[in-house]
Amino acid sequence: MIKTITEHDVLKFVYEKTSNSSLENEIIKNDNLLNEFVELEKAKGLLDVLSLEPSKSTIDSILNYAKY
Amino acid sequence: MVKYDVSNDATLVAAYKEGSEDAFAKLLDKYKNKVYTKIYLIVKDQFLAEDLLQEVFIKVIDKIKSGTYNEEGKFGPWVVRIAHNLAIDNFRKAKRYPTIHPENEDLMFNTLALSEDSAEELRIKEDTTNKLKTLIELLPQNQKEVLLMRHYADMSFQEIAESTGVSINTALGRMRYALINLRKKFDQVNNVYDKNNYRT
Repeated sequence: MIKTITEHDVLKFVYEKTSNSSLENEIIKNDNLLNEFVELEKAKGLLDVLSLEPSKSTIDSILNYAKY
Repeated sequence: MVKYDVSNDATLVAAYKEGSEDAFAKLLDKYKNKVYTKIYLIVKDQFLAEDLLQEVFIKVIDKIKSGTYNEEGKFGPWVVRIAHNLAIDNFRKAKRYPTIHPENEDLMFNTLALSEDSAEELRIKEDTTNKLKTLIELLPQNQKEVLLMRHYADMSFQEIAESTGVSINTALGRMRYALINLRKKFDQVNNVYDKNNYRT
């Protein structure tokens, strides 16, 4: 049975990047899936500019506690 | 100066056990954002998340220093588990539904600046940060939640589905819409900005 590749499969591929050459080939061969892949990758790339992180003072407190 | 393989947590933990504070700093740097985000997603209060983050790593430090840390488990999942349990315990003790306080509604997103960024590149990144931050806040709550869980807390789609009580397809759908909406709106905002700059 041939599995139809969906946009959700493309999303999982973007985020989980599992080595799956058959999925990659399907994406490359299908214009709609390729467009989907490109758009999702661009959006993911935008989010990579941001980081959700704690303050420096919190990190310094932890590092201070970690000292021997 | 001893260089450690930062990809190998076991090496770093062993080095810290032997007294290398630098090794611990590397471990902390590797996991701080993911653990912080996981806590924040439960408690929905960035100041409380910071306090709990400290508690998590105090437990981690005490466990390693005492020699009772069991190397059979992986370091990363272990720390995340501690964080999850602490956050849930705190939530239960508080006995209140978590709400975002008005004064700290904005997530503390920072710009991921690289040391080799020029001043202009940094300005562009900060501009992008401000726009993205606004756009993320404007996403529907369920899309924002999935986006934060997947992209910043590094949870799998399966974990997100279980955590939010929806099917994996629903979780995937929300994430897909979040990314597509974000990208479209970001392009719109940038186009408006460019048109305004070039108006005569």
